Amino acid sequence: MNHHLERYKNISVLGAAGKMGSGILLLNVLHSAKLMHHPDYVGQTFVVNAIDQSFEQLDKLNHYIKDQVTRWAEKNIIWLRKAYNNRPHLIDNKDIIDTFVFEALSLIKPSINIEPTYRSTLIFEAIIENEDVKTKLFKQINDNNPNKPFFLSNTSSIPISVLNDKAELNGNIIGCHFYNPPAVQKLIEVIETENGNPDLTKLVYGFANHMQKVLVPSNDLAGFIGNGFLMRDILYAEKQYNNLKPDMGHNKTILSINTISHELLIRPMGIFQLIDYVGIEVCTYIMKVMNHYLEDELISPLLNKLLSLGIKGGQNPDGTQKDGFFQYSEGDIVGIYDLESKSYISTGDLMEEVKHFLAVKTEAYSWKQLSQSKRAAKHLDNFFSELIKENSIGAKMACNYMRAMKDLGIQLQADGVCSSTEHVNTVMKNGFFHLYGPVNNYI
Amino acid sequence: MQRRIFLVAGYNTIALGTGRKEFHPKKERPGIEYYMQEAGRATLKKIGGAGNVDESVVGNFMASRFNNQAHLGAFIPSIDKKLQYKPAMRVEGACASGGLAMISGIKSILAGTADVVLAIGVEVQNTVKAMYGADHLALAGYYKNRKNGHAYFFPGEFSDRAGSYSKTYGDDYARKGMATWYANCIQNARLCETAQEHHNDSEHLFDTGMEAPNAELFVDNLNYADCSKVSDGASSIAIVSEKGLKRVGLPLSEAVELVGFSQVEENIMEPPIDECELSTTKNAVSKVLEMAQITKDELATVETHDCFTIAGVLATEAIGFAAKGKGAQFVADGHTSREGSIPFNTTGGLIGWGHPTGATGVHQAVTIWEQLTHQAGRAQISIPEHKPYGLTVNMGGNDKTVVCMVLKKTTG
Repeated sequence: MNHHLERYKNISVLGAAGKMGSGILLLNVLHSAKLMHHPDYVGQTFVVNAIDQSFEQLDKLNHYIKDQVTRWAEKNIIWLRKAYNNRPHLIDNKDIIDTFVFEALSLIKPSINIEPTYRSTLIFEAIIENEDVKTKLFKQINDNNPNKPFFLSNTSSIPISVLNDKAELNGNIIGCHFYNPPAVQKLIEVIETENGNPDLTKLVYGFANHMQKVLVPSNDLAGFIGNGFLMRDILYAEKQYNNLKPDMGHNKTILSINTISHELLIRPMGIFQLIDYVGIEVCTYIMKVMNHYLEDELISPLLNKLLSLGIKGGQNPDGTQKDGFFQYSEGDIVGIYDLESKSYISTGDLMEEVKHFLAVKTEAYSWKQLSQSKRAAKHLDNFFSELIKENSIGAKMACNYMRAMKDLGIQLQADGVCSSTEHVNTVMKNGFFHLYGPVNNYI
Repeated sequence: MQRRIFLVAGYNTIALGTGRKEFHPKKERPGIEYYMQEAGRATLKKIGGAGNVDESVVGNFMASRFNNQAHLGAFIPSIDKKLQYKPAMRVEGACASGGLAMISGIKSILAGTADVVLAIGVEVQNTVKAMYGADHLALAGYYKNRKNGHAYFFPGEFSDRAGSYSKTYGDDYARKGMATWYANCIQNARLCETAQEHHNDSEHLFDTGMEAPNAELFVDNLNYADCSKVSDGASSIAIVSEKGLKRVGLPLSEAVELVGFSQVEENIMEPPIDECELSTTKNAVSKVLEMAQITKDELATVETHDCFTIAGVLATEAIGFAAKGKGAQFVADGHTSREGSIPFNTTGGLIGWGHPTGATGVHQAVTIWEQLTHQAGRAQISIPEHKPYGLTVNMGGNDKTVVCMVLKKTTG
């Protein structure tokens, strides 16, 4: 009997109906549903408590989980047929998929009360990014739970050691920072505390391995690698914005920098679109939380200004993009928020002017094309070696941007956030879908 | 044969599915009745209208599962009001359903109960995701074998054949034959506007065909390029007697003559006699050539049932173009390409044109009719004077039902 696996028999996910929590719940449901077919556990009872604040939210969660588990089952039908080989009456793929979905959904026990967590051995947490709220909840569970549960926090910015000390968890907590959406994103940042329980570390690595996730160890410094990089990337973009804005004005400056970081750095989206995707409010909140623990201060007057105007970005519950720096139609940028008129104006003509201003001659493949290409590395090499030779404003700004990102990656290592710049590269490639890491030889 | 039989007025809808630019899995698509009507009406238009038709037959495998619709014979009057209260029926023999529709029409002509038969084959399969479609298609095998079969049942069955062939004759040897088969099919499909792979402009066809199978994602011995795709489509053609030909008012030059047919069955409850041989196909081909009183060397072209590339390779052996175990070499050497000694599947076959399962047998007849009457457009091949024949091989299940026809170019 595997001691670590025993802990999966009763799990709680706090904040299960939230954006991150629902994904973490899904991963646990799939993990436990698969575990039920492990020879040591056939016929045993597994529980996954889905804890959140209202039944309305939990009801919606049911649909999401059913849809996602079904998709997983369809994709993994070859494995499932083997797993259900001992059930003679399950013959068609559909029989097997339906049974798996039913069994997986049966694991979930929704609740708006905290008491079910008192019997859990693993507590996954994905609630509000607030030190006091998290530690109060952890302590309450720990004090009432005789099983000495392990806590896995999805915090993206609060040091784990702070949560450990304040909730008196005696090292039974680890940072397990999933990326959105957790079920799809391969990356998990793992943050161990100095005197953390080694069994917990082992358990997390086993979980990640079983769920085919890529783990990157990060040191326990606020923001860790992912947000440590992103927040400073945002501030670099803002610095360029401040330099360019007096000549170009707000709209063209935003579009120029967004275009450079999108098309010339060949990222899935430009930096300001990424801020919209994450949410302007979320970004400023993360900076605020990080500032609480860090010596250097991360402040974005630009984001704060937009927030003061009620421009927040982020996503609608159905996953569609809310307007932020940009206005969107079916995911595409169609407008930009004009600070003077305080309304969105079309980007059509502006983009023409921006392209003319940047005047880049080297032709680039799009991120989408290269993300599907087996020859991406060669194309990137060719593109950047040409871009670096160009004298256009766009090429020079892009190369400067890349240099700054490389410095940023190196600085994260120097600051002790990670032990290797390769970890930074892994996070940016897997968590942000960059085609190459910031610490590279292109520049 | 006691009566002369001709085929005229063939028609194919497009084979719709992944690869066609019109296809979007989340957008609404035409239903099965649309395909039957499009194909049927096109043939009727060429033969002077439905008033000339004595009876109709539709070949379909699995509408009852893919479309929740049985009783397709009763859809025939929806094609044209003049088909109301005339005989029509649906026949089924898995992927050989279209071939059986042809056989059914042929027998009506031979029996003298009809002089003009409208034969349609139809299948609409993109209604479900692939893993559920696999359940439906698996019914072409013995259901008691389903439990222990692969999730993708028929790819699994033919993967076993490819595995045996590779093990016996060499992995790389077999793979090169299969990859060449795939490349030929796509190149041919590019020349046919209705083909599912018509828009495939890959420059790396052979490399794609050579990709190693991934058993974790699919089956042990086939890659995705080895498999025909999921298709929606219909084909139709008129089967007529001499009297019927006069009635529809078409010249002999627009007809091909049926000079031989065979239809054989092997016991579905038993495994293949030899995984490296299409025994039933071999038997059916032998019978059809004997009936037509020709040798394989008089064939100008063949439409064979390449539901998987290995089935194409094995068909070259079953027909006798290559000795046992030499089919992969025969294909790799280019003999089956459109410029080769015996062009196979000149509009792409099942791999390239598409495989709307119940329509395939009729589609094959339409393709040979097009080639022998010089109506194949850009896909037209040369038909030598001394080789006026074309052969169809339509297979149901894992070589369990096979229908063959030999068609002859008409003179005069």
